[in-house]
Amino acid sequence: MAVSLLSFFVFNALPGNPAEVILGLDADQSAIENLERELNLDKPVVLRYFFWIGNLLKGNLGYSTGYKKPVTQVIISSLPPTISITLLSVLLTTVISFPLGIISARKHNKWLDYLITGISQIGLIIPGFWLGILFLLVFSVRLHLLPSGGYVPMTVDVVKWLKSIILPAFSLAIISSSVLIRMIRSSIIENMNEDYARTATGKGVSQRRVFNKHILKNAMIPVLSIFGLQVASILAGTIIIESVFSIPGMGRLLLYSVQRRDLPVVQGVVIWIAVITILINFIMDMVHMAIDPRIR
Amino acid sequence: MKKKKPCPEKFKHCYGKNKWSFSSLTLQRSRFRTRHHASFIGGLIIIFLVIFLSILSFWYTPYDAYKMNIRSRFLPPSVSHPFGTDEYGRDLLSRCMVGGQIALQVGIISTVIALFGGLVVGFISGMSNRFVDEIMMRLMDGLFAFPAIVFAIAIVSVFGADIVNAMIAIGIVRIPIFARQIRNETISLKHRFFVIASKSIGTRLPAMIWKHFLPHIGASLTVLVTTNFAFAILSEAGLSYIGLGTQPPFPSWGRLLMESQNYMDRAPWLAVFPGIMMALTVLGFTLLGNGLRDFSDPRY
Repeated sequence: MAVSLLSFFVFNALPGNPAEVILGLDADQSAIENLERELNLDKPVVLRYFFWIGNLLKGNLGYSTGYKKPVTQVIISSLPPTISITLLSVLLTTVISFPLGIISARKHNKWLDYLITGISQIGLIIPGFWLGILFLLVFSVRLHLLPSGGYVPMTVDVVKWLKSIILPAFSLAIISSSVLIRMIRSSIIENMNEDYARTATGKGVSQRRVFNKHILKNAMIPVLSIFGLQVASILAGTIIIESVFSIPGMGRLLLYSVQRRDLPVVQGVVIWIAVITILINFIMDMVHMAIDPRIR
Repeated sequence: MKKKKPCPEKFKHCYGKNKWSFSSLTLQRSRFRTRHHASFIGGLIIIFLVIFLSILSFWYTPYDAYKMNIRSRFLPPSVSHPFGTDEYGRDLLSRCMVGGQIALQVGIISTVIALFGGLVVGFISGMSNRFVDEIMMRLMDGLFAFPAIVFAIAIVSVFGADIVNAMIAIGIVRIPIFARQIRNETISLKHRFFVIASKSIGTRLPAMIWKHFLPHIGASLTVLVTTNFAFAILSEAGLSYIGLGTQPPFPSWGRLLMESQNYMDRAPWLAVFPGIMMALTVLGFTLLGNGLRDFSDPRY
């Protein structure tokens, strides 16, 4: 709700009349007026907002001035690369961060822990797109192992598809893993010092069992909410990383539309991303509720 | 009975005569201890270095950062050009120094915007009744639901791509984070005795905020401000990289990285050094933030 309000008024603050933009500079006055009536531009702002919300709920985001197609269609056609990068990156993040975080917590204050936290510190201070550029420099320009950009759909060739998205996915995954590793580590260490862990050990439960069954389970609760945030930030990261690797996904679409001032598309993409973000948070809340009986 | 954790050695100084003081009081008293905190000192040194280089670049750079010199194009790093030169023969070190100027400007302006927006929203929300609080916080949630970079792109796309808009956008995106923290602390302070006492002798709201609230919130705000600098610099680099931040001929670090990509096979150094500068600056602010957090919050 608040999202829709904000995005509507931000885009309505735009100087210039959309009808004039669509028809070009030398359009005559009556044509402009007709189009204005068609687009409800002659109505007051509040009314326009309700029209727009109504259309939004029906899945109608308006009409792209640049592509001459409905916005929803344009966005859906750009979705596959973005979705595949995001999913692969989330997968990689999980695979990297959970084992490393757990190892780091088990060996805390040993050299392995220092190594892992040290490396994850690097991941915190460099932006994902620079990591992408460095990967390009090493893997495509120097070693010629991977393509330097572009996207091959999965339906065409699975191996080429994987090759085209592995670098962007990996560079995003490293950034979010470093956040997660620290979170997992500190959460586990905190739980190791809790009373219940000592109680369980005192009862005669083996160390391994205490760690796996008691500590890990409790430690994962705060980690989950951070995980949700990281998924959202990976999604946002794809926007920039797509232009590093020139992949024609949602991020490229957003940029092209910004440059061509195709505002319905920009608005559409922004809303899609916001809605997906909210959805991710919602799912995380549900998972949270499922595993933690205390907040049910 | 819950056993109290013993005070860790390195925070003994925080538990002196006045052992329940948190926040700014702790920060002030422990200032002389900052010498012993490696992360804080490291961060401080890095930031002073970056600030020094950036301010120096107003008057002096080894070469002119904008003047093109075709004869010296694509020179690899050497003694005369420590970072090498770019496609127009401009010295990369000079351009990186000027880029530091831009990064610091972005950091300062967007942090000021986020801080003031956060203070206004946070105080209004914290001091008023449940209804107003609820509306304000839902609005902030809405703003927070946009990934920062997406919202910044939206703002820049409407008001035009240039560095001032990028700064404002990055500032606005961070308002919810400041606002939420200020609101939470305001609410917890509101019921403390010294605030109630002060209210009962007729202190007006502005004086109350100035004398009682701000000093208490101050310490945690310094941490937030420092980490916000790191965030702002990274975001600006991202926006400039996709061409929505700094416009040519100004060399911000993000823009330098973007321009480097066309010449990656011939001049890899163009892609490396601006990134290192950026990473170093962000590292500085992160370390400083960690240090400040340790001082202001004895629980860490």
